Amino acid sequence: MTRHLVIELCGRLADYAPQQINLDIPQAGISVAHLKARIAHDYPALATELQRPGVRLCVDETIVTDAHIVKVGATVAIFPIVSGG
Amino acid sequence: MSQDVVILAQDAIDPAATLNDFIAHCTDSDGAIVHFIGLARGTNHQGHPVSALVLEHYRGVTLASMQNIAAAARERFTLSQLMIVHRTGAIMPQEPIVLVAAASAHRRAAFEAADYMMDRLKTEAVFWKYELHPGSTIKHWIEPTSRDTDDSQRWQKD
Repeated sequence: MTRHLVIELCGRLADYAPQQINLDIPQAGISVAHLKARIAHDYPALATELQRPGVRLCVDETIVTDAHIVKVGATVAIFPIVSGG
Repeated sequence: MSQDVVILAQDAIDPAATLNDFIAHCTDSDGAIVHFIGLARGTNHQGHPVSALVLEHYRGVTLASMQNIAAAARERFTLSQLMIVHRTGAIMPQEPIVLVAAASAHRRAAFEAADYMMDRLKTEAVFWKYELHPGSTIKHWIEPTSRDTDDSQRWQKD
């Protein structure tokens, strides 16, 4: 059974896909590494950008590693490298 | 009683009013105040006219990144108070982007704290910014320069 996840694209990433993209993920959740692979598959224009240095995933306002499991209902965003202030 | 101020500002910064408020909170032990104001330029490094600088932030993460930098400055330098006020949104040329201030008993700590906070804000604060050029809607995204990175890393050698 899958559930719906909304992912916000920050900064320049939103130039390559809608600012909010939607994915169906397993009820048990999905690792960040798999999530990025799914996004690259469903949105090919993002694939190269997702591999650039400094790309990070933010889940519930916390930066997480590739091993983190994203659960249904989480607030998810993808950060490209920050511009700084 | 002095307290540190960290603000993510949606509206234009009034430098005079902001600094006056900071000064009003100084104590009779303070012998030095250092402040820095970063302005949006009307011409970029390549000489192109810039009609606006736009900063994007993300929820509470951006403010938290600024607060972390303020806390690190508080830990590293002997200060009575500090301030970081940083804009988000569209900023016109010559408008303030950021104001940092530090107060201490002696000038060295105040100078270094202001320098430290700016170096870290330039590379670590969670903003994404782009330039708009006259007559165009194309976003020219900005990434930290090697100079910004070097400036921030020099504080790690101490």
